[in-house]
Amino acid sequence: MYPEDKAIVSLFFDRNELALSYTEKKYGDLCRRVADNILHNKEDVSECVDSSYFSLWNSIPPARPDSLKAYLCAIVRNTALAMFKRRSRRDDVPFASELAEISDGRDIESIIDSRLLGGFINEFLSQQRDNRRKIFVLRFYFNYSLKDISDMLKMNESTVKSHLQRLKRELKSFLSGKGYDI
Amino acid sequence: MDKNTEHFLSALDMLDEKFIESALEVMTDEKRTESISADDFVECEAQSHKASRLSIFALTAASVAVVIAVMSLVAAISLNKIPVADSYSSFVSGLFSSSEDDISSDESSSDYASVPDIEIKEKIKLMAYYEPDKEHPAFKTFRELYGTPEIIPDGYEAKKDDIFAIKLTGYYERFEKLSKAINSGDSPDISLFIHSDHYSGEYCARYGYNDNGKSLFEPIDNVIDINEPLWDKVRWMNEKFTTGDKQYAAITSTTLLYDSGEFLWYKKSRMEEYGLSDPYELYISGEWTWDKFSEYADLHSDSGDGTAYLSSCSYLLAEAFASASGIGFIDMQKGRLVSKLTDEKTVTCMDFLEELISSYRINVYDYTKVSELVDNETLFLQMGALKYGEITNYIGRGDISEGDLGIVPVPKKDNQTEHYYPVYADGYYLCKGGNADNFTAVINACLISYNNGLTDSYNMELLKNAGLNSEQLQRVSDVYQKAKLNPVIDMFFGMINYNHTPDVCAGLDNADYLIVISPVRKEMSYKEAVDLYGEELEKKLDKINN
Repeated sequence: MYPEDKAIVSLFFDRNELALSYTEKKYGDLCRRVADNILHNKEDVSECVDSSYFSLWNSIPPARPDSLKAYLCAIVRNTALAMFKRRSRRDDVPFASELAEISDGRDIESIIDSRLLGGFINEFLSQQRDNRRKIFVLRFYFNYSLKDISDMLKMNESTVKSHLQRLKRELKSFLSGKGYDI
Repeated sequence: MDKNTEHFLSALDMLDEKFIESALEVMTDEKRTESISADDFVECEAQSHKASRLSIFALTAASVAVVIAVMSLVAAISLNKIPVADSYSSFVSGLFSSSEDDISSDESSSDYASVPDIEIKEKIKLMAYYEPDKEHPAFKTFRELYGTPEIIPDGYEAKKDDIFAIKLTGYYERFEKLSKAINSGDSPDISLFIHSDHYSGEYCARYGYNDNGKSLFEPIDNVIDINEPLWDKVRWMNEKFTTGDKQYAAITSTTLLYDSGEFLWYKKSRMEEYGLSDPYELYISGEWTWDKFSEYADLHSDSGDGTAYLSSCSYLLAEAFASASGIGFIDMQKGRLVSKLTDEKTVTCMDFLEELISSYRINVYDYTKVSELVDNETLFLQMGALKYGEITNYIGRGDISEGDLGIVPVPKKDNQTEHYYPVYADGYYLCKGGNADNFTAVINACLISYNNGLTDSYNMELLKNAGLNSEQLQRVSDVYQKAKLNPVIDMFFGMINYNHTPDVCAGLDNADYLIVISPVRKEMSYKEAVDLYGEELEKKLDKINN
């Protein structure tokens, strides 16, 4: 039996170390999964999750996340990405490069500011059906494999793939409608 | 990494939290466990754990109180009201007073008698992004003065023995929610003043949220009288935080940044290994300077033990070093915010840091990376005293033992006679349409709690609860004693919101922040950053100053 997130956040505000203990117990496996999706290395994953807990401890307070789970997973994902970029010899992050394909090689940075792009992506997703939104987030944000996503959403892998293709195509069209012809 | 990929990754950083949460619902890794309600849990925990309670309110208020005493003494000394030796010794003797018995009854009772008789029937409506710590002695003082208000305001929830009826907001929408509440005729009475919100608060008081012309706060010049004796210890700070001709924020306490970056932690055994003096001994003798700091670094690097000698957190580094050198990035002079970005002291400090960072002798992260100290990757770890528990978490798991940990302030500039320390302010705003009597009652309770020493005692307890041993506590105490004479109030800390709320003030960007962390970001030099963003910053200052 674990406390509700609201109670765990209260513990962070009290600077009570039980907050970390409950966070680990409740969400540790999820965090490791999120990190593993990006890092694919047991030691790196462990370090990433430890670092994320420290970030969490340092950011709450002042932050008071509405969803501790989402907030924590975002930290883990960002920490994992930073580690990936720092440690990997590879030139690319496969899942994000898949999304970046919609630019057809054009320099997006010179066309649209990343914050603006982030806002448009949110607007685009808000117009999508729930399942498609989940597919987008699971794939492009958390780097889940097509098979994992299909298992989680109880769909065929090919259906997931098809949704992803359409999401990319529609995002490109959406941005175009906003005057950003990427 | 491909530029476009990186660009999309940056964009995805802004992904709406509710989309993330929705996707997480289908992830199967979360342990499916029964949850219990927050109230039940807290109740349960209260019985089984007497864990330390270090709320941010307590944290800041705690540290605040000590320095307030310091500052009021400084002011008094400067006015020749108190002989230096007497004021110093009285400060020191009060520093670790741990019970109410130490309080002069005359002083205490005169404070109580000085406050106007106000009847408070309704719980105080507070809008905030965190809940103040109910263990803080100001709550007890409030009850002694006014009892416990019984009526719960419409639309609020509170328990019978609560003083505040609180509406919590998210951190990012604190001003937006306040604006909506006021505009819908549902004004809270008070809102928290936080040092790092100073600029945003002043802006929203003058121009409204996002320049909508509807002020969020009432001027308090006719509500309080800071010339009353009750305000003696914080008057200087209230004057410091009043820009222009109206006062909006009532400062009730000040502190050292106990939970921030003014201290360095180290292993004493490492110093012995290298044949070096304990840095704290150098600090006491006035020799803890950049030169000495660099000398230690060279020995550490030569030993091959690690690549860096200081592990730091990005947004703490420059501010702490500049303050130790006696300067803030933004100063307040005669009611005006004044940029000190091109002051020789500031430039020298930033040059020093840039050199260390570029030569990889300082590792900087977005968080405090304790493992670097534990694993001997670094000689020093920059971290506030109240975060000590983050180190002790490693005891038994790494190369670290409690008695081996030393603490010392960040070093001062070479050839600088005095050591300086950053000071931070806390207080309250009276919300537009809020009940002025309720605001006054809260302010009185906070001031009396501070004036009679309860807040000091409470704050010292927090440090003890954080796990500092007697030697560490004594060292921190010594630092406080020195700090009282040389505080630095960096208004930069109140100019920006580290936590990405640039839209609060009509879309102004964090020019000031980009300048101050330029050595860490490495995208441009500090001087280039000042050239690029300095003008924008000056415009921000002018808007508030005029």
